[in-house]
Order: sequence, then structure tokens, then C-alpha cells
Amino acid sequence: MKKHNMNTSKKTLWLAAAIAGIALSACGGGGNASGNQGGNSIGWNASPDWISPPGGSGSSSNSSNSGNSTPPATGDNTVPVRVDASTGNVNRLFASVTVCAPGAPGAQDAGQCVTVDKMLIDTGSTGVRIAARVLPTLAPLLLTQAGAVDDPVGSAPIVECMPFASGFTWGSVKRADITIGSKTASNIPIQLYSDGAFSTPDDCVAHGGGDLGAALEGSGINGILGIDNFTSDSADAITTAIPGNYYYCPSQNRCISTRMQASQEVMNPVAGFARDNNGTVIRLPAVPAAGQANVSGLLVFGIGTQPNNALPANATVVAVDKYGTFTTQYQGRVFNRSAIDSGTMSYAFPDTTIPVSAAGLYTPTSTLNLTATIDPTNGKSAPLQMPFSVGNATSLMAGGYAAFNNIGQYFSSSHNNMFLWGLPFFYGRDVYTVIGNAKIGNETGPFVAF
Amino acid sequence: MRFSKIAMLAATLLPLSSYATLGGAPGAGTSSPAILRAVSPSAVATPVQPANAAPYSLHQSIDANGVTLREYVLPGNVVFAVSWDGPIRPDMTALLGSYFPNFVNAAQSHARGTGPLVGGNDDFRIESSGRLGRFSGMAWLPRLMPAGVRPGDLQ
Repeated sequence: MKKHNMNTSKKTLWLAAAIAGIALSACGGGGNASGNQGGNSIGWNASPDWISPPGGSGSSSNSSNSGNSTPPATGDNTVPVRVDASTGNVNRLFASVTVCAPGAPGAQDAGQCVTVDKMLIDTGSTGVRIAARVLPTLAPLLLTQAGAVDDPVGSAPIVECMPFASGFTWGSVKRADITIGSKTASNIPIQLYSDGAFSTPDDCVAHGGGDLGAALEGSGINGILGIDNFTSDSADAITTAIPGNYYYCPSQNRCISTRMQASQEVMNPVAGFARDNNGTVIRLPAVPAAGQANVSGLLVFGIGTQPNNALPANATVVAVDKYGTFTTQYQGRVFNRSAIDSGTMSYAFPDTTIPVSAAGLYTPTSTLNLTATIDPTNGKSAPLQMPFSVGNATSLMAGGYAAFNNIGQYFSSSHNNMFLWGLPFFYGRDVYTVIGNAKIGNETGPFVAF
Repeated sequence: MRFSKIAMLAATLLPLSSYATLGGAPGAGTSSPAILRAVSPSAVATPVQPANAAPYSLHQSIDANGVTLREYVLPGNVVFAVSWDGPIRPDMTALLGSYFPNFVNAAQSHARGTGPLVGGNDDFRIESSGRLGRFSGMAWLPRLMPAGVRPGDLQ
């Protein structure tokens, strides 16, 4: 794994700029003043100008923002991704990332960097979250994120209770250099979950439920690589101290709910790259109906920035709202909380006519060829009839394969309006996820395309 | 909206009484500004059913964080199902009461990475979905479900 070369003076300049930006937004008082809230608050061209990360060519943002006039050689913007049975679960897409203490000198300096595998690639959440247990010696070298909006002193560590659908991850927000393939996001906030540094607040548990960190560990997952459509993870925390989200912790047993500046929230690492930072492409090969033992593919950084990540003219572009969702219609029902989510292992939707296993997976007697309609809510694109198939999950998964394009999961709840196009959707496709208001050709993000 | 203001005020003043407790009496009670209506499953619109055969009633309230809470109540005043929908997940210890550990256990044993939770057993079922900014879900006690009512019927 290649480590970026850090120019110390550039680094200093960038830090100074970042501090100035923080100070500016603090004086402005409004969350939108900081300008880098993901998705909906700023105009954002393919090369964002809200951040001037180090490592770009040239001494100012001019050359690094020059766009794609002279694309670098193809390939420096990709990283291998893999679905396999090593964690004992199906349809989980993994990559490796390298975590370094911010500004660590030299490539893979001893003790300053750790490469973490089994990072779950999740287009349904924002930011890098790593189990503290995989960074035992590096963790103390990462920088502590402090300066919470509601912290009167400003020096207390910021700790996050990150709510997911099934539970929460609890742990310190740290700053680290995150390298994925040969791309580095320098000095970005990440979550070091299950680090045991601060007692879990009661309202984190009350609103969060189960400790997802423990569940992930039990599944052999070392962390989450959240690369959705947004830059920072909690839009609501910018304005409100939400119960069960961000805290500052003056002492081990005292954590207080706080509002946040977007720049201090756990961040989409792709948005922190010097180039190829306007989105991602997940490129997986097709798998047969019986499944496949494992799958190797690519995660490509940037969209329309290099020859290997152009958005085809005939791609279906699906605009998403501030939650990353759009509308899918299925059998006459409208699901206005639909998402294309690599972190979900199935097609998840309600259909009472299909048999279900005790685990909640569909078990039709023979494979069903179904159709749902993706209905882009921006009104610019025509509805798309999307065929998909659902096989018998019990018999499919009995063979020990890891990759299936036809696992379905049942919802019975009538009012969650959710239709999830999970990882089965990704096989045999290029799925583009555009960050924020990045403009790709004539299309403005956030959107998903395929 | 006057109603939501009153509801939020009441929720602030009476945080516990505004919550349902699964398996117990409805938390909203008669003194809270909850919507209360008798509900019949769509299938009972047949002549053979008695006119008043409402197998459960629905209490609805909005908590201090703007989360819509619904509790589905048997004629014997026992909550057999709850649902939530709002910007955060509500206080699940208050909503689920003694069944909160069942939620935690379901998450530990059924969680599939970052995706939705669909889990439980014959005593307790839960479906939980969403992401930061918008969460929804439902939990119910299968053994207490009125005959002929499916979870998907609970509107």
C-alpha cells in the first residue's frame, strides 16, 4: 500500500486554512456558514473548492482544480473490492484501507500506519468507522477531535453514537489520514468505535438499541467504509443536539449531547481526496443465478475525471433527496424511501405472497422474476422498469457461496415505505454515487446512476 | 399546527406518560392528546362480522423530538404493537418497556451489517430501518396479535 508524500509546508498551510475556516464558521454562527455540509447546502463543481487538501499538484488550488483536461494514467483511482465467504456471511462487499496518524512521515512508517481489511463498503452511510481493536497501537497516535459547538471549554473529546438501522456504534471521533488504493484523505474525522474510552451514554443506548460494534466484530467486520452521497454524516446535528448522536466528553463517565460543525463530523473519505473526489463507481461482475463462491471487482474514485470513470450518456440517473432516497413503485405501492445500498445484503421489500424463512428471507419454491419501477423524483428522467429476481434464500445459501444476485428480504411493516436495492443490484453493473452537488456533465448531484 | 404544539408540550411535561409500553397499558392514556380510534382490519367489512368488532384501537402521539409514535391496543388495554417514524429513533426503553432487551438481542443476532433489522422470535418481532435523519420501524408481540390481523395491516 502506497503512502502519500506529505509536503510539510503544504500541510501547514492547509491546516491553517482549515482552522481559519472553522473560526469563520464559528463566528458566523450558522451551520450553513461552514459550507461543507454534504449534499444540499452548497453549489459544488466536480472539483470542490471548499477544501484545499494537501497532496494535490501545485501550491494552490488552481492546478488541482483544473478538472480533467489532462487525466492521469488510468488506474491510480481504483482499489480492488471483494465479496467472499471469509466472514461467514453473504453479499458483503469489502475493501482494505490504510489508516495513518495524520502527517505520518514516510510510507508505512513503523507504528504510524495500519492497513485494515474487511472494511464493509456502504453506500448507505457517511464516513470511515474502524473498530478500535484493530488499531491497538496506532489509536493513541491519532488526533483527538475536540471543539464541539456546545462545549464551553472547547477541549473535550468529541465522541459519536452513530445510529444505524439495527443499532449504534459508539466511540471517539479521531483525525487520521485514510488511504484507499493510492488515494489519501488527509487529516479527516473518522470514528474509532468500541474504543472503551468513554462510558456509553444512557440515551445512546435508549435510542440506539444494540451495540452494532459488537455485532460487527462477531461477523468478522473490521469497520465501515461509508461512501454515500454526502460529505458529513449528520445534517441534523449541525442545528440540534440530537439525542443519541454527537457528544463531548469532559470525563470518562460524563458525555453531553452537542451540536456539531460539519467540518468536525465523521466525513466521507472520498470527498477528502485531492482529486477524483466527486463520487465513486462500484464495478462488480455479474454472477450466475445459483450464486458464486466469491466476486472480485473495483471501487473507482471520481466520476468523469478519468477515462475509467466516465458516466455513460445512456446511464439511468436517479436523483436522491437529502436522505439518499428516491421512489420505487412495486405492485401498485409507492415506496418513497427507496435506496440503492451496498450495505444491505438483499432486495428488501414487502410482498406477502412470497414465502419467508424464519430469518426473514424470501424462500419461493422457484425463482421469481419480478419488476419494480424506479421513479426518479426530479421528474427529469422517465420511470425505469427494473427487473430483478428473487430465489429461495435458504437453498441458495446452503451451498456456502458468498455472492448472490437474487436474495430477497421481507418487510411486513406497512408504513416504512422502504424498498432497498441492496448488493444483489450491484452485480453486473457500474453503480455511480455522486457526492453533494457535484456536476457530472449536465447532471447535478446528489444522484445515483447505473 | 396547534395539535402538534400541544402534543409536544404534553410530551415535554409528561415524558413517560406520552410513551406506549409494549405489553402493558397504553402510555398515552385518556388524558393525553392522542388520537384514539377503533380499527377493524379491512377483511371484516363483511356482513358476518358484528358492527362493533374492532379488534384493536390506535393511539397516536408525537414525542418531544418530533417522532410519531403509534400504539396498537387490545380491547383489554394491552399494547400489542408499536411503531415509530421520525428524525431519530425514539427512546426505545420507554417504547418497548420490558421488551427492550429483545430488541438488543435481535440486533445482535440478526444484524446484517449496516442494513435494516428484521428479527425476533415467536414472542417479539421487530423491524427497524432508516439512517441518520430519518428512522422508522415497528415492533409487535405475535402471541397477542388479534386473530386475522397481520403486522402489515397495522396502519
